[in-house]
Amino acid sequence: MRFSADVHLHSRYSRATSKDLDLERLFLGAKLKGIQVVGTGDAMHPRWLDEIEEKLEPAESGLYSLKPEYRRIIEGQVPASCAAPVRFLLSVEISNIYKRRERVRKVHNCVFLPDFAAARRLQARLERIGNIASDGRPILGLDSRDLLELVLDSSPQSYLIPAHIWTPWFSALGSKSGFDSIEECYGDLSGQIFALETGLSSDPPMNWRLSRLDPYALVSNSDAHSPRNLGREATLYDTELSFDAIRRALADPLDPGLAGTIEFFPEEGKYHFDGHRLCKARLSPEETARRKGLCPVCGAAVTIGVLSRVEELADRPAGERGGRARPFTRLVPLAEIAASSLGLSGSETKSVGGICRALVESLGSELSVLIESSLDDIARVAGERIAEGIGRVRAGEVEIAPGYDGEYGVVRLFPEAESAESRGQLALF
Amino acid sequence: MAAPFPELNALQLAAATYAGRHLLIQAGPGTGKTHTLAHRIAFLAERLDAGQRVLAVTFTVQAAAEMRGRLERLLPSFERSVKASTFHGFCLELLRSGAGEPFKIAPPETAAGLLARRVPGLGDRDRRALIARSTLQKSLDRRDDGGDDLALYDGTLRSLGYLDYEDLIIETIASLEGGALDACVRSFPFLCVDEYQDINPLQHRLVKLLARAGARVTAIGDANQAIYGFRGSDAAIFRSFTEDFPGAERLSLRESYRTPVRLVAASSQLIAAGDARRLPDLVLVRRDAGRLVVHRAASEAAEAEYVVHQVERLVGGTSLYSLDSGRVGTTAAGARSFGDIAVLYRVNGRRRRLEEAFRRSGIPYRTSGDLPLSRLPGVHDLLVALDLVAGRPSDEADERFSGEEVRRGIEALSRIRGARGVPALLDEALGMPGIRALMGGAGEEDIESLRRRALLAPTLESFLDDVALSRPEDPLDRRSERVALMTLHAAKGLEFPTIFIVGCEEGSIPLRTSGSDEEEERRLLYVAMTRPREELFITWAAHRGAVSEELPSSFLSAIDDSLVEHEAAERKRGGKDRQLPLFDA
Ligand SMILES: [Zn+2]
Ligand SMILES: [Zn+2]
Repeated sequence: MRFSADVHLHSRYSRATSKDLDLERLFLGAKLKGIQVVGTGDAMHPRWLDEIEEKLEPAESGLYSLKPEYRRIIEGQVPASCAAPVRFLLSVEISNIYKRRERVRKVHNCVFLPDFAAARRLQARLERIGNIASDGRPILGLDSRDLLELVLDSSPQSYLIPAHIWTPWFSALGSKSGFDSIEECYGDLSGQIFALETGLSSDPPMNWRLSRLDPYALVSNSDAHSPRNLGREATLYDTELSFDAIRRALADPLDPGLAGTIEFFPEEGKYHFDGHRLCKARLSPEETARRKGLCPVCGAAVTIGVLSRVEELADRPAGERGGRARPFTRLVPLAEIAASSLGLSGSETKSVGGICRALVESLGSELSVLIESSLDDIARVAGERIAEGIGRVRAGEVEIAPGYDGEYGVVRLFPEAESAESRGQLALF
Repeated sequence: MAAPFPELNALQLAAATYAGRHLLIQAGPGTGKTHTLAHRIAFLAERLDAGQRVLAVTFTVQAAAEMRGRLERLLPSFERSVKASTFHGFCLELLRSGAGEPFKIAPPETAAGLLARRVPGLGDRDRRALIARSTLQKSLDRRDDGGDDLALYDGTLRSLGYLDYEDLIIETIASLEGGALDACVRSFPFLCVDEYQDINPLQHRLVKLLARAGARVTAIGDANQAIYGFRGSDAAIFRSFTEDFPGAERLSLRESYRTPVRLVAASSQLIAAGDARRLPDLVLVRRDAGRLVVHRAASEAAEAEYVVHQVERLVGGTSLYSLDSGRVGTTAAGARSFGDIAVLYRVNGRRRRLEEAFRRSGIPYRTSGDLPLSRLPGVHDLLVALDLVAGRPSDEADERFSGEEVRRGIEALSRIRGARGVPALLDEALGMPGIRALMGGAGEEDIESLRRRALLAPTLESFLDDVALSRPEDPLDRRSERVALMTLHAAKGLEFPTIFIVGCEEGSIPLRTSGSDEEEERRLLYVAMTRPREELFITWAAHRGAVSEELPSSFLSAIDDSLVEHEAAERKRGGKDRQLPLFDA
């Protein structure tokens, strides 16, 4: 069957997450967004894992469903249009901070576990070497390679995917504290890495520019810290609904199960361009090169973003396809499209919420509205303007002020409607 | 003939290759003490006859392991030409090879267990005091003044077939005096003692005994770093070396490699304020200033928060949250990792707040002071069972050991004991359901650690001895980096790029309790201040608990203010990091 998966996200036990983020709300969020396989996130956290074990029950092999008694609490809020089942997969992101070859490395790694026994085994090991109870995304002083060894020890089915591999501060290939290759990061065990998470600030074509990434499956996840952001990126599968089938689709280049990804426009990601957030200096890679990497405001070295970093390591011209290329769809979250269409600056207003709810209730989950619904149907429910906005996103006709140094990029769907002043600013980019 | 060692400086070379009889090497902090000692041992090893070994005595088991590692690289023949161990380890080997009575070893924790059963009237506190007093009397080599306490303690251990650590030395001295001395000195013609400033009178007697019988003694250390007086060590022994060993030479290592300029200056001022004659005689090799920050925190809790915040800053932010919120400032270069940093405190009581703050932050940390391997739950029960297998009746075998299944297991193991190696025997034991049941709470890593030790043990007895002297270790532990939280004492001999010394209030450092020695407290702070390779943060809390206004340690007033960056208030959050001006030297 075809299904979408978003397996890198966080619970209320992670820093800076919404405090009401529990499994029921993850379930509801996944239903509304159109995600069938959702990660539990934070599966090493003792209290969260207890809650997971309490509220979920085994469904298909390696996947879990919300027990009926907990489903009942939330089911009233699920519109009839969002009937597809939701399954959970045990997942956790770990922040590895350690010194290798005289440099401090900070790498985020996503770990996926086939069952509670594996999760408890890994938890017992990590408990001894770090603090897994203070943050759902635990910080360990452990080499990524050694974490991988522990993950593989927890069960032969467990696997690890390097998270958002291009972000400058916390990733395997990041400019600030990563490595120049996956092999360098995971050493003798790098053969056990078969998939990479591209992160919000990069998309598949950027990754295809590195032939050394050809062997890897490219996946996308939301890294959501609240249910609202669930599914803003996701991975599509066309295979059996099970942990094994998902793993196989990623691990085996010949397996047809990996169907593609849902992507952000990479410019919207927080680290696409270079610059300094505090100096409000946003630099394209060309500008950064011209300024020798220094900030025009404060004179210090800028934070090198994803585009520059890819350029630095690329060995292929833009436009060529990589080894395990799959189709991908670029989307903008529905609330942002609605806000932009209505000329509102924030996407968390009441009217935007109302429009999104109406669309989902009458047409289906957010992903299906964004990808499948006819523009006529959308216009009928939410008006011509929003249908036009979604149409422009589908056609890739968007203007984006790229994100940099931790600042999200800003999407403009109707630049012609904006004031001459703001267009003047946009022209800078 | 060994080529002179090109990697040594002139003073180190002179010490390493000294050809006379006895030698005392004065080695200040960061002057390459261990490096020089390793070369000295290698030099002496070239001068051995067949069958002889250099005896290299270190202060801790870990230091012995480190020395073996260095020698392995330096000296191809080291396996057969050097015995590197602690005094206890050496004595144990000597006693085991002799024909004396069989015995087991009682670390203080084991002794406490034995006393609890045999002397039930004694409370926990009194029991620990009894053990401390008794072992101190023995360390001081003043057993005759031990009185009833010592008689009770020694009597209990001996009646159950146990020796404590000091007994290993006492028994060795007795055995040497009883006629084994010449053979011993023939086997070990050279004796090298590390950390000689912390030797105690009992150990001193052993060294003198060996020297009188012809052994040549090299001692190395630094009188300014003597910090174990409370355990019976006596820095005066260091100073009297040339009288104790007539004709002895005294050489000094002077080039300081570890410590940056400001910290050498500040720590030297600290020592000189106590006694100008003890001013460290050091030549600065490093030209960089380093940093010395003194921070006044409003309270203990604020102090702990300050430490955690600084650690986060030094590592350059530990989460995206820190970076996004500007808490750390994206321009701050995070050059440290967790393993580069240690936080030191004078008394364990200071640890709680720190641990709370570290736990909240999620920053991985470790504390020292774990139980010995042999006392870990589960492991302990296995060892008692193996004691029985080895035919060593154990006072700790409770009724669980007389159960049918366990008894049959032990009998079966005893039967195959002669025919199997230690690893196989251990595996056999671990495979028995009865024994496994005894071991309920044993951790997998601890069992792994036992397996590794079994591989190295020629006999079951030597395996049990080795475990009795070991602390738990997890190979993963060593691989994973954590901020180290430890006492000032535990920092001896270690070095880190960044050190925090917390709790520097008057009354805490120097610690004012009955029997505390202000000059030893001064040396203790000196040892701590000379551990960092790059930067030192000294913090104190202006208020503690509900009580009083505190004052900074009077020791700090010895340090010239121009060396110190003062940081009073907490830095405002959300702003950019203030770049502190660096002293340019
Ligand atoms: Zn992450
Ligand atoms: Zn700037």
